[in-house]
Amino acid sequence: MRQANWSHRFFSALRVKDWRFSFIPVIFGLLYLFIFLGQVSSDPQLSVISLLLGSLFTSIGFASFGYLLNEWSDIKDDFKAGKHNKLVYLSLVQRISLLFFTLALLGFPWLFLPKNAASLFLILTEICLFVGYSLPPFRFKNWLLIPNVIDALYAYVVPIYLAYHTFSLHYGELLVFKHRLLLFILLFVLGFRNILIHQINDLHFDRRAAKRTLPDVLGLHKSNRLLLSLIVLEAVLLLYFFAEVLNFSNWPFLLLLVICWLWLCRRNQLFKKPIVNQKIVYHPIRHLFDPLYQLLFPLLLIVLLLKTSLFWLPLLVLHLLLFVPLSFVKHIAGKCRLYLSIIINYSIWIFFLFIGIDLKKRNQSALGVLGSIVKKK
Amino acid sequence: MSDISNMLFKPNTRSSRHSRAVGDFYNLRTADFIEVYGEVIQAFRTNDVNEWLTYTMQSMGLGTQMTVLDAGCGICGPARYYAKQIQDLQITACSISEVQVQQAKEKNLAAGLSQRINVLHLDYHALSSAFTQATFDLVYFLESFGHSANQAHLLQEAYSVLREGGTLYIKDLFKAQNPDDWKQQRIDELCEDINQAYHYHIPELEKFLQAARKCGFRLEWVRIPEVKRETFEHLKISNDFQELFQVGKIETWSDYIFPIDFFEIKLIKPKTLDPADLHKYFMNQDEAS
Repeated sequence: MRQANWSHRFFSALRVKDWRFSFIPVIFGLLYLFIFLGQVSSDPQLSVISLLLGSLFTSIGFASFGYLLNEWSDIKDDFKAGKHNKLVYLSLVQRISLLFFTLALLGFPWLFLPKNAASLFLILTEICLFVGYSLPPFRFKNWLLIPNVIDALYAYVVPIYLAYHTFSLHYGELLVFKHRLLLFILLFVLGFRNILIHQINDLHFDRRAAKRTLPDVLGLHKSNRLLLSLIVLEAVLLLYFFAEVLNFSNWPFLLLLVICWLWLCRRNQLFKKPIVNQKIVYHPIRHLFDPLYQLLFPLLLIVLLLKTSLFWLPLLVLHLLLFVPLSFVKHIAGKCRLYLSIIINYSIWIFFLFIGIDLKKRNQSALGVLGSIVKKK
Repeated sequence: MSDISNMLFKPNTRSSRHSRAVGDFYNLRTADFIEVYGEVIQAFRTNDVNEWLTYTMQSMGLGTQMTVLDAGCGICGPARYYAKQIQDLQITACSISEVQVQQAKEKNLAAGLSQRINVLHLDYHALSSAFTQATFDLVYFLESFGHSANQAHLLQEAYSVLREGGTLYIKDLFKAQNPDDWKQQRIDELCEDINQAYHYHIPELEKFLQAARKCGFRLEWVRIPEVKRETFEHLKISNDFQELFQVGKIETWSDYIFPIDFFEIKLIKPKTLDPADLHKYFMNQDEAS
């Protein structure tokens, strides 16, 4: 019991829930894309597995370090705002231990991962962004507009550029400059949208802590317009990215992607609520593209990789275990079981029709019919 | 009565479709409501619900020998209480839900009040078709007015069946107003959630008053129900009910915004004054008459 309590506090302090199903799957989706692009002309290699494992540990390390630092630096503000802080129950020694643990986790894989001076620069940039965002003397998170830019950079742009750079050291250049630029603008817009939504959600608490954030300064109408513009821009960039990088000739993939995305949006009830006062600031539709980035894009890229080789099957299992909510996996498994049972039952029914037996009319199972035939004989 | 209900339910307007949806909703959910609320299906109430009913009885001015209409009666919990308290009170009660009407009739019969409470299966938007003009001394809506998708029309209907000098009493939830745009947006969205979950149209007080006055009603007063603080039900019952619908549940007070205000409103259908008495127009009705 005590152990369970400790592990709960541990994961809670690292805010695992906040990144496990959100931006880490996005990063991994792009890693799969880099592998897909890199192995076009070559067979899958075991060395890529070490790249992926290294990326997994360093990503978890970066995410935990960033969140931990941020949570630690927020203790006073959270108290003022009446907001729960996940580190208050940990002693100073526990906090410092956690900090070193996350630093080790983010640093250790770089002993094995391919790197050069640019890698080191990107790693330091990421750490500096975390520190500058949370800690004095700068504590950029209390400035205006700058936290939005920094957040977009440290959550998406820098780590994915680092990942791209690492995979390029392994495979050689994977994307032409134009595509790279497109990808990183898209990631910046995605990050900016996410932090804007986060600030909108926290507006009430931030005001209590006498902190003025971008939505508070812009006001409801302009914030709504900004959010809407970001979503439209994201849509255009996404379309362009898929068209350019993944190529529209791969239309079955794109069609499947769109169908699954719309199904997921419906499942997440993104379209169910009416849009009140023509404002989407609190409406679920503000997360329109999240199911695409966080769930579908990585999974469909694994499917693309599986098309090239079954070597990637364990990756699918690992990804489902780590980055897909269990409820979703159960839901899909249930659906698959349902459709499979329909297909099997109808196949049996049609087969028996061919031999002149209508199982439905007889209201009997196939086994029952077979049993009665055997008995007769 | 079946002829009347056939006639009343025929029109296929947006409002009538909504009324049908409300009926279906209560046919399906009345058992859940009763489980949480008991026989008085109201969110705003005191710990002892009889205390609350006594308050509303006095507040609306219910008296002996009155003929009153309980519009949106539920299973007649309040109507039975009033009938027991006041002799010679004749109540007509209506609900759009067949299930509620059936249960109300059974309970009235069991309480020996079936002669004094006449329960009808009726869309309250068609009061003027169901009753002759100036039938009632008092029409009351207890958290039922907001189910109307055409509230201006409903006020006209209530006006037509009230006798001159009669009272319209409404106790309901009204959309809250906030000077902060962000908070107002959250209020509007929470209200929309409530509307969707309960087939409601939470009225806005200003629009409501405008519509009521346009009908010809004179505003007696608007107020927050004046119950003692210590007897007030802490919305726990409501919260239990929100568990069923997952709407508007109060999980933490730290960033909670109340999307609604409860008001009770008393409106009077003015008497027609003699030309000689017109100078008394601004005085209250009793003195003027």
